[in-house]
Order: sequence, then C-alpha cells, then structure tokens
Amino acid sequence: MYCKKCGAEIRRNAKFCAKCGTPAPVVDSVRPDPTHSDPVRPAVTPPAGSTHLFCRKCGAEIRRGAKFCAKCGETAPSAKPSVATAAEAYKPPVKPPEEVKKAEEAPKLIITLPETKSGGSNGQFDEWFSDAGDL
Amino acid sequence: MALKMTYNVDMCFCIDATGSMGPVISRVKENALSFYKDVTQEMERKQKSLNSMRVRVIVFRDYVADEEPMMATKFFELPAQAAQFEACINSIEAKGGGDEPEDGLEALAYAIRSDWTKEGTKRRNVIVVWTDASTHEIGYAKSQPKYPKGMPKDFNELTQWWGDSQMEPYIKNAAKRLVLFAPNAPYWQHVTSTWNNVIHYPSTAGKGLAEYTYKEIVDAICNSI
Amino acid sequence: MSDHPAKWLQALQERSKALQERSRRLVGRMEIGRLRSRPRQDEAESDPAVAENPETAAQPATPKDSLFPKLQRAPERMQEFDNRMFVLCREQVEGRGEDFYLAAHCEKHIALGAFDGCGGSGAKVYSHLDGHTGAWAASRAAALAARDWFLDPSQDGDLAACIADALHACKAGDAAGQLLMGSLSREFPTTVSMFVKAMDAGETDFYWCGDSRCYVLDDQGLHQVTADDSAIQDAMQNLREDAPMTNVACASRPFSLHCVRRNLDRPSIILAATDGCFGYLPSPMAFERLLLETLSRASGIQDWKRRIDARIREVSGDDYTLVAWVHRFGSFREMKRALHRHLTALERAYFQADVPEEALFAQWEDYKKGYERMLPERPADGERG
Repeated sequence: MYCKKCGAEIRRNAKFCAKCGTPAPVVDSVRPDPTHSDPVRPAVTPPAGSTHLFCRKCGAEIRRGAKFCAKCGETAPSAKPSVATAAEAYKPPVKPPEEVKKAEEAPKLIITLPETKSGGSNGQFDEWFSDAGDL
Repeated sequence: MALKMTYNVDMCFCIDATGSMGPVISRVKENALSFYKDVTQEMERKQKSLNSMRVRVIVFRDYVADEEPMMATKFFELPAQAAQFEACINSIEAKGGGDEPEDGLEALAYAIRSDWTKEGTKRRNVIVVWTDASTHEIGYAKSQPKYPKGMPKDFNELTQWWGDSQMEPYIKNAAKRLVLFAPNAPYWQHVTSTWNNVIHYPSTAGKGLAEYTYKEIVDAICNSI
Repeated sequence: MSDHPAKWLQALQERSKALQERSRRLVGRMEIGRLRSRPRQDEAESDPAVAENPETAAQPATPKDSLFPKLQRAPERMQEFDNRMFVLCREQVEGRGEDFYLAAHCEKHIALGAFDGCGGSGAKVYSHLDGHTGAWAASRAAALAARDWFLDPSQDGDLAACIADALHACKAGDAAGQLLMGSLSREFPTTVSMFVKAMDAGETDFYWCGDSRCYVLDDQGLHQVTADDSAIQDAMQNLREDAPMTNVACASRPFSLHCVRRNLDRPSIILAATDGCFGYLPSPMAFERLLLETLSRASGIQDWKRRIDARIREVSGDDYTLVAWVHRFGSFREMKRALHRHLTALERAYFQADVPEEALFAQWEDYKKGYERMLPERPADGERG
C-alpha cells in the first residue's frame, strides 16, 4: 500500500504512514508522484533539457539517473546527465573546489605462509545447512 | 545519562569453505560462542550499542567441482541462539574446490536476497565475505545441474540487485554494508570499484586469510556498522 | 606548514594547543556592545607562528597577505569580536576527542568551524601519532589547514586542496601504509563545517562536507544552511537511520568541498555543529528548542554556552562541537527578547504533549518548510557512498 499524502510505502496492517502520520488505509495501489507545494521551496522539476527515458525492452519508464530498468533489469539508454554538480549549483565566491589528489594505488602485498590443514567436521552440517536453492 | 547510538544488525557471512580456508574457519570456530559478546564489547568501545543481532551463514565452493557448492542457514538470533550458531559454525568443513576461482558471486547474490529485518531504526544489513580466491563471473556454472534458477544473468544485474541511492530492490541503501575479506582479483575488484558501501580488506590468494586475526575481523565488522 | 611530515605534526600539536589557548581567551565573558580594554601581548607570544620570529613576538600576529582584504588589526576591534562568539568542544574521552574547531580572525573577517573526525576507517591507531586515531588527527589537521588558508593568502586560495594536503601529510607519516579499498575505506576522514564572514556585513561564505552542519538561528527559527552528504538527506529520517556519508574529507579518496554564499540581512546567530550536538535528539525541532530554551535562561553568551553544554552532555554519546557567532543583534538582551517570542511559538506548535512517532513525522513535515528554507540545491544523487 502507498500513502496518498506523501507516497511512502505503508507496511501491511500498519495504521499510519510511518513517514507523515496520515492514517491508513489508502486506496492507491500505484505509487503516486508526491508534489509537495512547499511555499518556500519549489517542487523539484527536471532542469531544462532533460528527457524522460523508457526501457527498450519492456517499455517501463526509467527514473532519472537510474542505470537499469527497475522492472526488467535492462541497461538504461544513455541520457545527458541532468543534475548539476555541487560546484555549479553553489556559485562559490572563489575558484570552485577542484577534485583533490587521487588515492595512491595500494602496494601489492605478498606473504608466503606454510601450508595449513583444513578444519575438522562433524556430521551435523546437514542439521544447520540446506542446499541454497532457487531464488 | 548519555545515550548511545543503538543499532539493529543483521549479518550474513559468506564463507569460502574450500580446502585452503581451513585456518580462518578454525579461527571462527574457536570464537563462535563468544562472537556476540566480542561484537557487543567492541561496539561499546565505539559508543554504540546493539538492540538486536541476527546472523546467517552461507557456505560456498565451486558448482563445477564440489558436491555441496552452496549451502545456507536461516538467521540465528544472538545471543539467544548462540549455542546453535556455534554448532552450525563447528559443522563447517574446509574441503574441495576445483580451479582457483570459486563461485563467490552466487553466494553474494543469495546474501543480498536474505530475509533482512525491516523492523526498528538504525538498521544495518552487513554482508561479510571471507575468501582467499578470486571468483568466477556470475553464471559461469549455469549449465551445472545444481545451479539454481533465479540468479542474476550477469554482473550488471547483480549490481542492480545491490542497488544504489536511487534503487534498492532487495537491501536498503542506507542500511547495507559489504565487508570483503578477499583478494584484489576478479570479480572482487569489480565489486569494490563499482558498488557503494563496500570496504575491502585484501587477502593473499590461497593463503586462507592468515593475515587477519579474529580481533581484526571483529574490528572490521564493527567499523562497518 | 613545514614540508616534513614529522615536523608538520609537531607544529600541528603546538598550534593546536595555541589555538585552544587563543580561543579560550577570545571567548570572553563580555556582553555584546560592551567594550573592554585588554592587553593582547600574551596572546601574540603564545602563537607559535609569531614566536618563531622574535621581532614580531611583542606584536599581535598579522598575516602578511590576505585572501580577504585585511589590514593590521587594531586591538579595540578584537574586543568587540570577543563578545560575539563562543566555542564549545567536548570530548567523550579526555585526550581522545575526535572533534576539533576553527576560530580565527583578522581585522574585518572571522572564520569559525566544527570538524568531526570519523569513526570506521578513522578508528585506526597510528604509532606516528603517539597512538591517536586517524580521526583525531584528521579533524585537527583540517581545522588548522583551514586556519592557515584563512590567514595566509600565499596559499593558492583553494581550501579543499589545503585540507587535502594536510590530510595527506598525516598519511605520509604512516610507514605501515594502509591497503584498504572500497568506498567505505577512508584514511584520515573528517567532516568540515565552517563559515567565513565579514564582521560588519551580512555576506557569509559557508564551506562543508560530510554530515556536520552550519545553521542560522533568527527570529523565524533555526535554518539548516548546509545539505548533508549522506545517503539519507532528510534530517528527521537520518536521526532514525544514521546513514553512511557519501562524501567526506580524507586522504585516500577525492572529495568535494561544497561552498555557498548567503547574505544574512536579519539579526541572527550563525552556528557550525558536529552531529554529536544534534544526532542524539528525537527531532530537528528538539535541537532548536534546546538552543532557544538555554538562551532564554542565560545571563550572557558564555552562560548560554555552559547551559547548552550541560544539556547536550545529558544525551550525547559522542564528542560534540558547537561554534556560534552573533550577527547584528545590538545586545544580548535584545537577542534574548527577539528569540524568546519564537520559542513560545515553537513550544506551542510542537511541544504541547508527547506525540507518537507517526505524529512526530507529521510535525516534521510542517516544521521543515521553515527549517529547510536556506538549504541549497541537493548535490547529485547516485554518488557512491
């Protein structure tokens, strides 16, 4: 179930939306697109030039920035990145902070150790472990 | 009185149980009964406390070479089921293994699909992988009779299962942690370089994680929480 | 800063002590607007940067050149500055605190900040740091680098690079090295939350990375100015989940230092805080209430600081650092009066009775309209944590 007010998922048998406190039940089975009309912060809208993407395989809409289709797992078609970097959005008064030094590559660790015996066993393995079957 | 951050922690251990892993499996066996206490004490040192803790174990080997390539338990509640957890750990035998890469990514897929708890705040879903071998690409052994249905078809799909800040199909992004004790080798390298919320303690191939003491392992797990 | 890591670390420790001593003197007991004459010679002598040059030992330390327009500061302006701020930095374990602060000034500008050395990878202990953790060193290194950047314009002006250099210098002293990989492996990690402002103008530059925050508190309430670098950016939700940080200053990975300029035209209090201050409270509203309630009972700036310290210590399980600068209020009394009205409204709206968790979230949805008013655009989603 999904909350009609804020769109958050409501657990089965919950009496309230855990996110906004709206009493359950709600009737929507498809997650609504919350559009908060915040008087001081405008609702988030895609910047100019962004496009809505659709999966080539199953046709489902792919959320902005997603790498895969959430429905069938197909790789998302490439799209121009539409989210501003931190430096662009903040208009820093000095030169924008640049990428700082990259980490050095970890040196290779080489250790030679004597052979060790494998651990013992008892017959109770089957008591605790089951074949990890189909997912 | 000052409060501590209180966490609800689920852990899934993916243990490479091929022959060379005897040393670390022995170390875990020695300490299985005190594991909960050790973790709790380390957390207290870090000004954190555990509200609940569950642990499950997935043992993996090689689908081609081994009769028991992938075995899994349910979650044990600790400390209530500490004795059962200890018995479970003691039943693991380090044996087998065919070629050097094992089927670790399938174990990771099972771990991601664990029945994680969704109750409580400050949830942590920690997957700990212990192996001294590289891993086959996922699906390498899909023609084997024991290979399960429902596995990701490739690494991209497995990455999708792990998720990111926008997509969390099976494990919550804020809660998940992956602690890898594994060689810096395929495909563990791919995991480390592309997945979020990962910390990778490199091990030497074939040496049974001998370079890490039990205390270091507990410390690493607690640092990830 | 010396090039040699060992010498740099020694200088770090000496400057750390000097900075603490200097800030202790700067945090005076005088109320806003009351001028007190006080000799400044003792402060100049304790500053190692000045002590290195005996000719300047008797003079107040002055930067040679300034990133911001600076002149030789006059003692009387420093006294006025002393009356407007406090620095609160509390360690959970004495001598092992992993928070640190920045408090520096020149004639026309001040720089204040809070830095939180991070646990996790930062918990590693280093022999070359006398057994201190990477987090302990990182917060101090970053704070002192920020101070040097502020005071010494021979730096190239890039604060992020200065902090990165300082953290790399910490790492360079570690002979053993570290082999960890992965997005959660961070050597010498620390948050940054600081602001630089002209003392007599509203223009304020905020710099941050991680989950330490800058706030503005005015007669319209508490406003978070910096957006958390966290997997969860909703302040209320993050109190419940304590999500991992997606960006933090460290020596092993690139990081982004965010910056935003705000023009503060209302009388206000500007704050920088580590999460030990607000992370143990049930809601962001509770943090605002803590600040306003303690202010309403305080007799002066320093008394306010002591009351905040006592309240946070009751609940926090972490080191905590809170720095504050009072902007444009004519007197302490005027500030109390202006904010007391808002405290009354806050308590009436959200604290009439205990509410269940679900209703608390509903209150948050209402409260955050004002609380988030000054937040900048969120950084891009999908960053690796």
